[in-house]
Amino acid sequence: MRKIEYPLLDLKFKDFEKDLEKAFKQSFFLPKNVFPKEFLIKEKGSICGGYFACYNKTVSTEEINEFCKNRQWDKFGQLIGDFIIIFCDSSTKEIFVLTDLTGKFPCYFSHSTKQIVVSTDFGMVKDSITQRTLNIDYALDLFTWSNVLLITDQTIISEIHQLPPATLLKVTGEDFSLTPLLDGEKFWNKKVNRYFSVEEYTNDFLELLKKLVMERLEKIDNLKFGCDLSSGFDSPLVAYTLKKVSKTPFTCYSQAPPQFIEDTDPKHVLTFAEKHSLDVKFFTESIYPYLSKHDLSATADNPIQSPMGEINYAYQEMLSDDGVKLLFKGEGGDELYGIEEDSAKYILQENYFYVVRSSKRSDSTMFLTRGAEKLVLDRSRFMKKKSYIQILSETAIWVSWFIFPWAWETKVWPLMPFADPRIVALARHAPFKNKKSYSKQELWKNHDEIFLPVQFRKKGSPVGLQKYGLPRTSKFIISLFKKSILGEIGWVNSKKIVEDFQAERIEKYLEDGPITYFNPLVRLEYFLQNNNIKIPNI
Amino acid sequence: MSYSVNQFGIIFIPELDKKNGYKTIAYDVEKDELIKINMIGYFILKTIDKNPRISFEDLIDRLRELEETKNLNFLKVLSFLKKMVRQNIVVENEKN
Repeated sequence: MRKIEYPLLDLKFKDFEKDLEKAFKQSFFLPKNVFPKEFLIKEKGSICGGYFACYNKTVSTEEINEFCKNRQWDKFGQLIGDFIIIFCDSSTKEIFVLTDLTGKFPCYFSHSTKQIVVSTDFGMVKDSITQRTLNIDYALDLFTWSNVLLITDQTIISEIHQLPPATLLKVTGEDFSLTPLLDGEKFWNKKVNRYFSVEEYTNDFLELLKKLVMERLEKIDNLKFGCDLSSGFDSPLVAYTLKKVSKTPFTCYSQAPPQFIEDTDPKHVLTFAEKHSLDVKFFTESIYPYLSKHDLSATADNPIQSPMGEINYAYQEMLSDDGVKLLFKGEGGDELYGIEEDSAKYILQENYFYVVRSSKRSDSTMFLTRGAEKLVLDRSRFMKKKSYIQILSETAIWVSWFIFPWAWETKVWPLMPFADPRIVALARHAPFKNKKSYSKQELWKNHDEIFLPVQFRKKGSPVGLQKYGLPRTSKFIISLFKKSILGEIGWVNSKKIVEDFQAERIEKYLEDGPITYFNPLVRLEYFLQNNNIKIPNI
Repeated sequence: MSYSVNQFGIIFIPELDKKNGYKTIAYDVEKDELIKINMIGYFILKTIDKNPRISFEDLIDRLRELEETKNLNFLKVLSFLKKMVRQNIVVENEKN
C-alpha cells in the first residue's frame, strides 16, 4: 500500500452493460487535496468529479457539471487553470476525462478489451493491468531524452497511454477516442507582429506578469504561499512581481546545495533578496537520486524521472514542514525566449535533428551498441510519430508532469505564472535583432531596478549534483548492469559499463553530455528489472 | 559524380510535409544549424533521397517528371546542390 494515494478509476467493461453508475461509484477513488480542491457531483444518471482551480475566470463546480452534461467541451479549452475532470454519463454509457492545457495534472490510462484504468499516477495504472509490453519507440527515445520535446499519447508501456494536455478522452465501453480541446496549430499560425522596442516589450511583459500573479493570488484564499528563488532570471522575476502585488508577507525558498553553485549561488540570492526586502530560506542538502529508496521506488514505477527529482522532493518536504501549501515558481520562463515562428510546424523534424545532435554530443557509443544506435537514429521511427500541438512549450508541460508527484505527495502545489498561454502569446511578439531573438540577458539588461549585474552573466548547467553523485553510486551501477536486460537484448554495452565502474574509469561518464544521457539509461534498466515487461522482438 | 542525402540532415514526413506546403527544414550536422528548405528544394532533396547515388543527369530527368519541378532550370538545381553540399545536407560521391 502506498503512503500517498492518487486518484484512480478502474472499471471493468462488463459494468458498462449493467449498472454503470453503481460500478463507477465503486471504482472511482478521489483522495482529498488542499489545492486544487476535489469536487464530486452525483446526480441521477451522471457523476462529475475531479480537481479544479481556474485563474482567468470564475467557474463553479456546478457549471463544470453543466458543461459536461451539455458536452460543451470547448468551454474547458478557454479556461486557464489546474484541473482534471472525470464525467460519467450512465444514460449514454460514456465516460469522459479531460485535463487543463498546462499539464499540471498528468493523466495516464489503459484501455483493453476488459477494463479502463485512469490515474494521475503511472504506477497505479501499471499495477492495475496484467499485460505490459515495452514500447520500443519510447524506450529508444529515452536514450536521448527526446520524449520531453514532444507531446504524444505514448508511454514506456504500450498498453498505457498518456492523455495530452487539453485533450478529451471519451470511453464508450470497448472503444476510446482522443480529441484536442484547443487548436494549437491555429494559435501558432497567427501572424506575428514583433515589438520594435525592447523597453516597450519588457514593460508589457512585466504588466502581464503582474496580472497573472494577481489572478493566482486571488484564487488561493488564505493558504500559505512561498516563492522559489534562484540566482537566475525566472524565479527572481516572479519573486519581484509577487513582492510588488502581494498584500500578504511570504518567504522565498532557494535550493542551494554546494554542487548547484553554477546554477544558484546563495551569495547572489541573498543580495537579490536584500535588494527587494525578501525573506529567504536555503535548502542546502546534497541528495543524489540513486542513493535514495524513494527515487528508486519512483523509477520502478516510471523510468522517466527528472534527475533532480529527489532533491526537489526533499526541498518540497522542507516547504511542507514550513506550512507552505502553494509555491510560486519560475518554470516555463526559459521557454518564453527565442520562440521560433515555425517551431510548431516542424516539430517532428526538429525532434529527429535533436536526436542526431544528442547522439553526437553524448558519444552514445559509450553506452549503446551500434545496433541500438542505429535504431535510435532510424528516420522511419520519426515518420510514424503523432504529436499533439500545444500552446505551452513541450518542455514546460513535461516540467509540470515531473513536478506533479512531488507536489501531490508533499501537498505543496506549484503556481507557475509563466506556464500561461497569455504570456506565451505575448512572447511570440518579442523583438528581434538582425532577424534573431534577443537573449534573456539582452532583453532585461536595462532593468537594473529588478536584476543584479551578476544575473546578466550566462549561468552554467545544473549537472553539478549528478557529477558529485555518480561516483558514489558505483556499487549500485555495477550490480544493476551485471544483470542487464538492455545488455541481454543487445542494446547496451553492459559489460563495458560494469568494467568501467569496477576500474573507476568514469571520467567520460561525468562529462556534460554523457552524464545527462546516462541517467535515463540507468532508470530504464532499473525499471525493466523491477517489472515484468514483455519485450517484443525487434 | 553522383549525389546522396546525408540521412542525418533531412527527414521526410509525408503527411506533415504536405500540410506544410512541402516546405521543410534541414540540419547541418557539422555546423549544428537548421536550414529552411523551400518547396522546390524539398522535391530535389526527396528525389535524391529516393534514389541514392543519383547522377546529375538522372536527377534532372526525374525532376522533369514531377509536376512541381518540371520547368526547373538545371543551373538552379546545380546551384542548390552546391549549397546543400556546403551545408552537409547532400553528399557528393566521386563515382556513380
